[in-house]
Amino acid sequence: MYYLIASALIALPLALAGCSDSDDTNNPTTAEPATVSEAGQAVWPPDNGDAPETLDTHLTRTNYMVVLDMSGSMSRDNCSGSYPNKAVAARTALGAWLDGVGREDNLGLVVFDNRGVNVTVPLGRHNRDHFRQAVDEAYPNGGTPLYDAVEMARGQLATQAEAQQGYGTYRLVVITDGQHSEGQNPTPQINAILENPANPVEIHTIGFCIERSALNQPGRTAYQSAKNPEELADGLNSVLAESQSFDPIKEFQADDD
Amino acid sequence: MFATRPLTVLVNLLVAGTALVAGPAAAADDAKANNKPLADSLSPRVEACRSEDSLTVPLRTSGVDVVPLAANGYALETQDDSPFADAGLDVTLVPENDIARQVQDYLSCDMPIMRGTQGMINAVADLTENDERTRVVGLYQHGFSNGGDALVVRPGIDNPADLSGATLVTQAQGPHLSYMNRILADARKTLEDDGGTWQAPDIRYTEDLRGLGGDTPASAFLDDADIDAAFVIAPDARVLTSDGTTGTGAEGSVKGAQTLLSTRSANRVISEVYVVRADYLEANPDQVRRFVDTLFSTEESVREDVVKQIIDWGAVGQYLLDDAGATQAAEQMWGDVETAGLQGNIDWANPDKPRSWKSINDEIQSGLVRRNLMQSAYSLKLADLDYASLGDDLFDQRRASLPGFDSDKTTQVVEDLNESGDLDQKALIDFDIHFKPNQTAFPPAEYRQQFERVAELASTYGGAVISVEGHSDPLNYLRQKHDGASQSKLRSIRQATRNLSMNRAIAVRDAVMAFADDQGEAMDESQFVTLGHGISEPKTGMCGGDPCPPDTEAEWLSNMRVTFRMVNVEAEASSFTPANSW
Repeated sequence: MYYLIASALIALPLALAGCSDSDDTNNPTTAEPATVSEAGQAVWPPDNGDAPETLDTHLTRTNYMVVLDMSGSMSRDNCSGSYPNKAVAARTALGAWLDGVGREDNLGLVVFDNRGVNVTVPLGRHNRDHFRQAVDEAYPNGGTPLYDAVEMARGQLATQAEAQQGYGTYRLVVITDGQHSEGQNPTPQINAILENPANPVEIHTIGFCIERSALNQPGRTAYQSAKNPEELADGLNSVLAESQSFDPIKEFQADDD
Repeated sequence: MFATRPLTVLVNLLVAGTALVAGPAAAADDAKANNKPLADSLSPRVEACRSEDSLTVPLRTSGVDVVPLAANGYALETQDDSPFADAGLDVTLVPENDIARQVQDYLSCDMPIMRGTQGMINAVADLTENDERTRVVGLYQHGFSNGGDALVVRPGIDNPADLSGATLVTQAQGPHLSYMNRILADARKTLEDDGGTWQAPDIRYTEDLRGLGGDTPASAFLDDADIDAAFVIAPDARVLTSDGTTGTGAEGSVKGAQTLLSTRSANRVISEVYVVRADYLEANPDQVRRFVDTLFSTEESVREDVVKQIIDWGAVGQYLLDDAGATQAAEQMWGDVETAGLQGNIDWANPDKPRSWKSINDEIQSGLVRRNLMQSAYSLKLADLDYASLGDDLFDQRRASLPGFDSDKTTQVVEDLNESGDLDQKALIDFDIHFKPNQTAFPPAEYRQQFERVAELASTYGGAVISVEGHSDPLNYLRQKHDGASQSKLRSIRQATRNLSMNRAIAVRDAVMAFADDQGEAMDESQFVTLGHGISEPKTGMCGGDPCPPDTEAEWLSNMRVTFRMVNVEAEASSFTPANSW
C-alpha cells in the first residue's frame, strides 16, 4: 500500500519538469539522535488529564493529516511543470495519492484558501468522497497561514493519538508553494514535533520551489522537490521494525570500544 | 465502623442467641482444636423430615444474606406483603454462623436447610452423606465472596510461594478452608514450576472466625509472632493492616502486616450457598421451588434497591451484625460479595462449567481429605430444578460476569508494578511467547498447556489483572543508528517497534480469550492490560540509554516476545468497578 502512495506522490514532482527551485540549502541537523531511554521518558500525546471517551479498536492504525496550501500564489504556473498551475498539480497529485490510502487508515485535510484556514475534513476513515470534494472545491486565493494550518493538523493527530494510546503511525503531509504569511512561521510547531523524541509524527513536505523552510530539514523532515523524488518515496515507505535476519554486529561493537 | 467495634462481641451475642445442645457442641470444639473430621467427635440425633407449612432457614453474616432478609420483609419472621409472603411462604430466619451447630439442627430436621460456603457444607459431609434422608442437595448459589475475605501476612511473605513452610492460621470448618486450599495449591504449583521445592505449611485452627479477641485467626495472628499468615474476614484485615495499608503496630494492627491476597482478586473461590435435605425436598418440592424462585426475584430487586438507596441497612445491621446502628458496615458487607443471580445459578448447575457446584466440591474435597478434615470424598447431589424456567418473571437475566476494570487504572497499576519490579513477584503465572522477526502470528498449539492453566486460573481469580506485554528486538534500530540513519528514520523505526510489540500483545490476548471461550469460560477483555514496550525493555538489557545489541541469534530471537502474567493487585482494589452495581 505504501508503495502505491509513494508512487502517486512521485508522479507529482516528475510532472514538474523544469521547475526552477534550487537545491536544498538547509543545513542537516547535527544534534545527536535521542536514545531509546530519552524517548521513553518523554511524553506524547500530551497528557491533558482526561482519558479519551473511547479507545480506537485498532490501536496501531495509520493516520494521514494533509495540509493543502491553496493560497493565491498557487494559481500561478511557475514550478507547475506540465500543469496549468500549481493548484491543478496539487489536486491531481492528491487525487492519485488518495487511491493508495488504506481503507482502515485515518485521513484528514486542512485547507487554506479563499475561505480561510479550516479543518475541512476531520481525521477519519469513511470520508474519502468528502476528501476528494474538498480538494476539488479548494480555490486558490489569500495568504499562507502555515502556522495555523500546521497547528490544526497537529491537534487532529494528537487527539487521535490519545484514542490510540500513542501507538500507530502518524504522518503530516504538507503541500505548499512557499513562504508563510507574516506571523505564520510554522517553525515552532514543526520543531515542537521534531524535538520531542516521543512524538512519532512524520513530516512529509511536497514543496513547490521552496528553498528554505522549517518544513525542509534534511534528516528531520522528508522533503520532496522536483529533483529528488526518490527521497519522498523512501519517506513514505513503511520501515521494518526488526532485522529480518541476524547479522553479527561485532563490527560496530568494535567501533564503540 | 468495624475498626472500632470488636466483632468477637457480635459473634458471642449471636452464639448466645442460639439454642445449643451442650454435649455435641463441646465435642465439636474438640474436633476443631484437634484438627479432625467433625464426624470423629460429633454424633448428632437424626430425625426424618416431613411435609411442613413453614420453613426455618439459617442466616449467615454475609453480604449475600441481605437477599433472604429482604425477601422476608427485613425481619426474621415473614412480614405481610414481603416477597416470601407473596409467594405463600412462611419463613423463619435464624442467625447461625457455626456450621457445627447448623448441621445438628439439620440432621434433627429442626432446620432442613443449611446456609454456608461450599467449603463449610463439604466439611460436614461425613455427617450428612451416609444417610439417604439427610444427604445434602445443592439448592441455590447466592454468589461469591468478592473482597470480604483476605489473607494477611507478616513482613517476609511477599508472594504466595513464600507460604511454603510458613505457619498459617484459619478457622476450623470455617469459610476459609476452601480459599486456603486453593491458594496453597496454586502457590505450590507456581513455586515448583519455577524449580523450587514446596514445604507443607504448619496450619493452626481456631474455634471462631471473627474479631480480634477470643479464639479467632485475627487474634492468634495479633498475639503470636510465630504465625506468618492468617485467613480473616475483610473488617479484621483492615484492622490488622491499619486500614488496609501496612500495619503500624498500633490500635490492633500488626507492625508491617499487609493483605497479600483477598477474594477481590480470587473472586470465584468462596461460594455461598443453600443446601436442603434430600427427604425434605422430596416431601416439600413446591415449597422449596417457591423459596428459590423468590430468592431470584428478590436478588434482582435488592441490586436495584441498592442503587436507589432504599435498602433497610438498619435491619441488615441488626440481624446480620446484631447492631442496628452498623449501617455502614452492613453496606460494606454487600460491597464485598457478588451475587450470582439466575444466570449464575444456571452456570453453577452445569457440571461442565469451571466453577460449578460439582467442580467446586471436587476441588474442596480434595483439599479437605488431604488435610484429614474429611473422611472420604462424596458426590453431592444437586436439586433437579430447571433454573431457567424459574426466571420467567425476571427483568435482568444477567449472566454473572467477571467484574469490569477501569482500564486506565489497571494499566497504571501494571506500569507501576513493572517499574517497581514487583510484577513478577505478584504473578500467579507468567510465561513468554516467542515470535519470528516482524511477525505477530504465533502457533497457539505450542502454548496449549499454559493457556489451559490461564483459563483455569481466570475462572477463579476473576479479579486478577492479566498483563500482556509485547516486545521487539532492537538490532535493526541499533544498526541503523550506527550507520548514521536520520533522526526521522530512527523515530519511525522506534515507533514501528512499538506498534509491532503492541500487535503481538493483542494477538496473544485474542488467542487466550478465544481459547478460554472454546473451553466454555468467557473472559472479560477489561481484565487484560495490553502494552507494547517496543525496544525499551529488551531481554538483552540496556547499555546506557539504548538497548544492548544481541550477541547471538538466540539472544536476538529472545527479544521478540510477549510476556504474559496474571497478577494479584490487592492494594489497588480501586481499579475494580463494584461487582454488584448495575
